[in-house]
Amino acid sequence: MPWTLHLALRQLFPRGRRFPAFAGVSILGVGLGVASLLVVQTVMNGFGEEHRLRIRESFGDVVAVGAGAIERPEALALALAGDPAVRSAEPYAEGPALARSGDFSSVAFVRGVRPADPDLPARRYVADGSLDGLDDGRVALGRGLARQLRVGVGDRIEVWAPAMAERAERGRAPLPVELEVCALLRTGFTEVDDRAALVPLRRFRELWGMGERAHGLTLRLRDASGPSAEASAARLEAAHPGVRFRPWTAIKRDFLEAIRFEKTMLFFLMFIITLVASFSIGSSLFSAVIRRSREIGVLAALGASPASVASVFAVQGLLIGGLGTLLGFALTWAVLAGREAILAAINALFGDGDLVGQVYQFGFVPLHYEPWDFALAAAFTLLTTTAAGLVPALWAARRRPTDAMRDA
Amino acid sequence: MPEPVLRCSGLRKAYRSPSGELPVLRGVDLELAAGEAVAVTGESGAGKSTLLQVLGGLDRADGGELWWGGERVDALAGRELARRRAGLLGFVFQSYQLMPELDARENVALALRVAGASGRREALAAADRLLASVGLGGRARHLPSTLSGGECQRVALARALANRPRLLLADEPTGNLDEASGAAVMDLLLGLAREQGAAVLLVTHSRSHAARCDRRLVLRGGLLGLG
Repeated sequence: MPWTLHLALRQLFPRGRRFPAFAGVSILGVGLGVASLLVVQTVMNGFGEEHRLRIRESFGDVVAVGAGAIERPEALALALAGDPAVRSAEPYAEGPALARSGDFSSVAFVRGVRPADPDLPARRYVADGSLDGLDDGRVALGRGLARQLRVGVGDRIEVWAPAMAERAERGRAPLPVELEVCALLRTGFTEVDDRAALVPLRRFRELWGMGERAHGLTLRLRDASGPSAEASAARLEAAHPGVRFRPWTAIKRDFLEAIRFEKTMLFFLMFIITLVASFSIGSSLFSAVIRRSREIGVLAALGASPASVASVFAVQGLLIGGLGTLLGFALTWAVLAGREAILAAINALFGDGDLVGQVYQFGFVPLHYEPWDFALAAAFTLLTTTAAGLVPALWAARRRPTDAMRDA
Repeated sequence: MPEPVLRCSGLRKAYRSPSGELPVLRGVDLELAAGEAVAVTGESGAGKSTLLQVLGGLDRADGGELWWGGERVDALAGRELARRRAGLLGFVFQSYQLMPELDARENVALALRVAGASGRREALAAADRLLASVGLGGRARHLPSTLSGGECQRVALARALANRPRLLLADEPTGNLDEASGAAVMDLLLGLAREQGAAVLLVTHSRSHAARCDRRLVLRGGLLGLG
């Protein structure tokens, strides 16, 4: 071990002292800064990932739509399924309807799907009941919608579709259809859970009077990454004139951009915390350099070069930064592991019980660990704390030994 | 004739302040032969410590020449001067100037490691031997805060001699000690320096300590004269 590192370690962690106050407080400050930065980044990444996943699950990796409804969707689905990039293509139709159960009613966003579709994302979110029984007499509801209607699996609801108004115009009574709830869905995405109702596509067409038409097709790709989806959409659009293919990255693009922007802004805001911690390290090291003036003079008398004297203090900044970063990583893990308890406490303190759900549309705190964020946080922290140590270190190195010893 | 360990001629130094210039050294000439012990006395504020710092390269002279061994060093850059200092000179200060976080053997070993003379293990082994030679073999792992003043000065002496310097510069080494401890330190300082063949330049107020040196000089009015 070089003597400069040995001396730096001894000055930071003096022997025989229970708590090395300067080192302890500095490392804790850096650790808290790094943890704030990474907790925010990881949660924001989680929100972004969850939103992207929900968008892909709701609309597919690529959505195909026409100028109006698609006339022969099954034929188009068959043609698209033959494309090597496409794993499956399923027609869909969707629209709002009024749902009612006794004294309770709500607007439901009904989607017609093929129950036998093996890629149907709703299968992953069944909280109660089963989608296997989804037929013309049944409906699957989002859990929030079911709660609004006060129904559970096995209960019946009435549904009024807008097309029923045409019957009233023709002098016939617009009777609602009665459907039995076969499944409750819980995606954790409030917008879906509070509105979604799934019925077979055949039943939807009947209620909406759509004949064989569909509103569009959802395509699942073999490679659903953003660039691949965009390339496939462009290629398919060229091959199928009259049909527009939108990759998932283009759906709700503004929303995704807003999340990305929010993440970037939060990164800079949180980074200021680390910067403040670094400034306090710089200030503490400056006082240490002044306090240790005599020792700096002695080092020079022993023959230490100015660079060696500087490195004793610069290494202290680096050590504080390195240990603070490691502590920050550990704190990040601890906070994220206990995030649900923290969220419950925040909700209890500031909200009406579902603050995050109201703001971010999720009933939980999603996470996505991004190694790049950790590397960036570590690099920034090491850079700023080393710089914070370097300034007083250079000042110490430039002092003449006699001045240092005289000022002590 | 062998090259003197230290030689200076026409050494000048003044302190500048807003109220004007205060000359401290007005053209000091001095030569120290190998193994010679020279005492410098003088009134407080006469510039004895300044002379020692300039001769040790810790401070720059305003003019004149300074030679260590056969090499002129007054114009060397800081890094080069530090390198020569580590190999040629040892310092003993009035207030010991030990590193408070390092124990006695680490303080001594530090001098060896700064000079690049040895690795950590060898330096610590050498430090143990040096501490034993100043009678502190049993206190090697004690921090300076747990040592008496006399013990601290003996650690400082061991540190100053660690690199077997050709010249030992001692600035009031007994100034903070009682008479008995001071005498013991002086015995060790002069004895060990003689053993190693090192020249000694001792700045002191004590006539009795000065009397033990080969030559006695007085700094008066910025010039060195015979005491």
